[in-house]
Amino acid sequence: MKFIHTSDWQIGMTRAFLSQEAAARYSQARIDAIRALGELAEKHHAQFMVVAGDVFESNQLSAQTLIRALDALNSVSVPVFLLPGNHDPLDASSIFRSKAFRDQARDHIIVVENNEPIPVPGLANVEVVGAPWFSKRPAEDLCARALQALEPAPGITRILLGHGQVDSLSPDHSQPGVVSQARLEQALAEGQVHYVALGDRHSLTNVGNSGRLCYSGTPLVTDFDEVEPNQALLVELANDTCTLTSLNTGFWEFQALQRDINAPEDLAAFAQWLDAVRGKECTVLKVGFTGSVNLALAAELDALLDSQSHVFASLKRRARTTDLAVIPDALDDNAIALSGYADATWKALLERAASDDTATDALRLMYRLAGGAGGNEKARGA
Amino acid sequence: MKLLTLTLENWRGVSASHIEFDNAVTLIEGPNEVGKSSLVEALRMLLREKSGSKKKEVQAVQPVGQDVGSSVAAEVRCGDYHFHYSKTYNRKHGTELRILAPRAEQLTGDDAHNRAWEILSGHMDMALWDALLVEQGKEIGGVRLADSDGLARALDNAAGGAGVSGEESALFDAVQAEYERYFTLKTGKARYGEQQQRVEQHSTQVQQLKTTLRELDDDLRRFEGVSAEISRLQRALPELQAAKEQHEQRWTAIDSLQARLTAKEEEGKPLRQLLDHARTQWQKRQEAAADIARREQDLAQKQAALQPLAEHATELERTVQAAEATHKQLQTQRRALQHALQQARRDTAYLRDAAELARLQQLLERVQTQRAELAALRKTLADIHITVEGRKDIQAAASALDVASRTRDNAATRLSIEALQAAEFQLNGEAISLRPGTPLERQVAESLQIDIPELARITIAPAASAGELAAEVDAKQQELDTLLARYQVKSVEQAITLDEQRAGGEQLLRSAQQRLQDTLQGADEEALQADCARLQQACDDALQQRDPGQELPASEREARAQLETASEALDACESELDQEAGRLAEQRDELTRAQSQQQQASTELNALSSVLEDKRSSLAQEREAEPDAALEQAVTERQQQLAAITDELEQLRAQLQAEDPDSARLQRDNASQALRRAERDIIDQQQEQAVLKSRLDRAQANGLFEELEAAEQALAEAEDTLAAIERRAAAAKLLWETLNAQRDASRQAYVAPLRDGIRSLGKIVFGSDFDIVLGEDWTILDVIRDGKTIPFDSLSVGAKEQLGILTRLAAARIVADQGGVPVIIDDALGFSDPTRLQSMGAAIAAAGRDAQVVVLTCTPGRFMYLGEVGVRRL
Repeated sequence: MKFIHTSDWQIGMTRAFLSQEAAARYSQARIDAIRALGELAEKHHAQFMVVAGDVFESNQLSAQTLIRALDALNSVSVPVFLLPGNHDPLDASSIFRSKAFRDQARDHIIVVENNEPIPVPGLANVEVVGAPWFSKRPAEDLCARALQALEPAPGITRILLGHGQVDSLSPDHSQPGVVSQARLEQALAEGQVHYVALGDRHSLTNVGNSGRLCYSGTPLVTDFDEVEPNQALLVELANDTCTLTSLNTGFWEFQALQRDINAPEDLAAFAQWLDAVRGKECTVLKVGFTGSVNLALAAELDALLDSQSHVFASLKRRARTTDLAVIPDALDDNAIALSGYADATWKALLERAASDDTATDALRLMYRLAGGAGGNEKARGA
Repeated sequence: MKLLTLTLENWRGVSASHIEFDNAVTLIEGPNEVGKSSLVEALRMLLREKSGSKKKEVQAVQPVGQDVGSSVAAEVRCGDYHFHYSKTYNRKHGTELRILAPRAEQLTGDDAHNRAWEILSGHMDMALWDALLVEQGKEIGGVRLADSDGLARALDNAAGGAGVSGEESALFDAVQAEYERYFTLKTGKARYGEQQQRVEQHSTQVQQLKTTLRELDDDLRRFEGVSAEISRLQRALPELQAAKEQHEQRWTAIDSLQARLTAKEEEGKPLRQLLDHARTQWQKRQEAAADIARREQDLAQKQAALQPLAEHATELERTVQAAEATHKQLQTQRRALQHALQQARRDTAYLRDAAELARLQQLLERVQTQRAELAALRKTLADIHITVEGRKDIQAAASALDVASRTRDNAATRLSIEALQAAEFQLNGEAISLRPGTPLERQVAESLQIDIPELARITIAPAASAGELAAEVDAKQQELDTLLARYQVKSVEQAITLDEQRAGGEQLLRSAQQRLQDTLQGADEEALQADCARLQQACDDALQQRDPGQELPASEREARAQLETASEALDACESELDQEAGRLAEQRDELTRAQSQQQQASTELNALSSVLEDKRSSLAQEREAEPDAALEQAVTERQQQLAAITDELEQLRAQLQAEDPDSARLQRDNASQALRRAERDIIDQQQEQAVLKSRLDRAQANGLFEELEAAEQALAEAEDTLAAIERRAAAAKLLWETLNAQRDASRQAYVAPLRDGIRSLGKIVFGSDFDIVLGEDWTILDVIRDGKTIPFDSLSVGAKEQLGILTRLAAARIVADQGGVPVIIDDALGFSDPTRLQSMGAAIAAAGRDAQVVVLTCTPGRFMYLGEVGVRRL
């Protein structure tokens, strides 16, 4: 018996650092991931699919987004179990109970609304047991509760569908909704359930040593700090074995970089690196710069970032980790040969630049206006 | 730049003109309208205006009425360059540039113009060229040198600066342009308000959406709370219902017990009334009997008290009668005493009156006597007519007669008769008896007739003179006689006697009168007599009224003593009477009181006795109708009946008490209210749930989250844009401000050399103490002369013009080493006096040693003081 374990689709999520254009593509990519999962299911002969929570980024999504997502879901050829998570809890404003959802979702889309075991359509002796979220603030370990209510059913393979951080990984154990790993492992050991499909972590994670307790991660990267995103798990349960295969689902990439720039060679290397990035239009970069550059090099870096930012989905300096000292040197002076009060201005600004970024900016501007980098650039452009 | 030649053809009124310039000062003289100003205009146009220009000022140079082109050609040295440059405007326009050195070049058209401009602006500060060009009729006071890079460069050199490349202006312009991208030049207002606004708008939108979402979240929480509450209530309902029913049942039991109790109480009520009635009857009867007994006792007491009262009254009556008798007796006594007193008083008065009467009578008698004396005296006096004066007159008349008689006698014959025997005779009828020894002597003053009886008549007649004297004596005699007659005296002696008698009488009269007055002592005699009469009457009356039997007191003193005795006796009697009267009144009052008490007691006794009688008869009637025993019986019976019912009630009450109806009712009510409240709460909560649900449903479909995400994304983008702009703007602003500050500072540094240049020329013109104050933009602010500071604007037109020219000359001198700029002065110094003209000439000549100066004038004399000068006449 094979099925696909995925979670945290976060349909409707946008990222503020993306431009409008990139944001639209990114949103579309989330929808596309659903179709991709459907195709993977077919390709790998998975008999159904479980989505372990946070299908939607929020319960308050536009009809357009919802209908597009449902359209993609409807196109999946196997049953899909959707578990309400912390982003889309089964509360009074639940998107799963909205008219649009009820009207549009086809029968093979099953929303887990309680702890009752749900037989998988078309499959004998396989049940999905879900621990749906009913509010954003659960008062207890929902998985433990689902297990507690579960009647023993010999001969039936059960998959527990849960959402939330397990206590071994959660940084805050005091949260009442935290999932007890021990309890899950106990249930697995006792054969109460045979696989625990978890959601909430966006990084693919195999929890503990059972080999049956996993976070699938998000099918489309959502943040810079995610490890192995863009994946789903193909789970194969046979007799006493559980085989896990990770499947690629997305191709967007979020990267946070740190570069040291001190000489033109460093800049050239960075330019080369940028050039080599594939799928730039789906790559989000944030780069922190450190080091010390003269005005000419600073101007070149500005120009490089300026031109490349149009190619990438997003290319930004990391303000927090950027500490690039711009210090005019003799080369700069030679490049713009100033005299008279202009020279005096240059020197005055130079003095201030040590403690005043605006003065550095003013120097760079003067450098450009006096025919330094700007002139060169123009010449280069020509 | 140095001008070598300038040639004009068909330029306004000038058909042809050619000038060769000196290296130093060139003075071009010519009358008005000969074309001096055209030279300047043409030169300026040659450098600035393209030959193809259609500008009005270009068209204006065409000679009037001639269809020809206007040409200007100049030969110029400029740095290493030496070239011929010519232009023809309007008709057949064209440009030609022929460079002779350093490399021969030949250009035409715009290329020629551009090349020429390139050479010129490369070697000459065009801004300074414009500034130094003094055209006719233009204001030449102030000079704008600040825009000149050439001058700045030269001044920078002079100031020992690091050198000015000449590119600062370009940089300055570029920085200004950059600054103006972000700020307005004048006010420094930011131009990126649109971006700021956008950030604000997005921020507001984000805030609104967040608020809305927060509200939505609140609704959700409430919905959860409400739902939980509803299910809790619904679970609680059956329990509340059961509790309510249980309490209801208990209450029903209590209720029936209560009903029985009430019924029993109702049953007892009439019985109790009957008992009360019987008791009342019996009590009334007992009270009536008691009342009668009490009254009887009272009556007996009252009767007993009546007897002493009557006795007391009688005794009092007797006392009063005795007192009355005593009183009457005293009154009689008093009357007698009063009478005696009155008599004593009358006697006293009588005695006093009688004494007075006697005294008055005595007095009146004395008065009578004195009056008789007075009357006698008055009678005596009445017979005497002589007065003191009369006596004196008579005495005088007698004396006069005597004198006259003696005179006559002396003169008259004296008759002396001596009787020898007594003889009788008559003399003048007067019988005279003559006795011997007694002669009769007479003067014969008148005829004397002596008749001797029987014997003879002897007449003796006086002599004649004796007659007169006799007449005199007669007259005197007559006078005397008259007087005597008048005073009724017979003789002088009598007159004297009578007069003496009169004086004595009068003396007596006065003393008699005095005595009378003494006697009367001022009293009126008539009044005295009236008093007398009155007293007489009173005495008579008193005597008449008096009891003749009683003896009159012997004296007034006795009478007064009697009076006193009587008065004292009366007083004593009256005092006693008063006492007695008081006692009597008291006794009478006491009697009255005793009598009225007795009366009252008697009346009361009668009334009481009558009431008692009534009561006795009514009690007797009642007893006859219903005897006492019957009444007592009725009371006992009712009491027994009631006791039975009360026992039953006690039992019921004890039962009820055991059931604790108060708390049972409280519990029943509470249970019922709790149920009602729960039901109501469910309805309320369900209503709220419905409201919340509909709100949530509505919100659900709105896609708020995505809207917020989009807004946040737009905000981030706008913020990025704005931050970038602000950063660039801040940089531009800082650069612009720093550049300006540095430029101003450098200009300030340039001020000194320019000031030195102007001052050194100015000293030639204005004297050795001349000095100036220059502003940062190199304009003259103040002039200092004779130690006084004068603002430039306050100077005369002439001085301003002179200073303007000196400034230009100084500037030209300063830039002379770097190619130089010619100073062209067209028709100036019209306002200067000869002395000033002379010194200006010297100054221009001095400047001319370093810089090329061209002076145009229509007044040759004005510049006659120019020494080293090449003069051209047009």
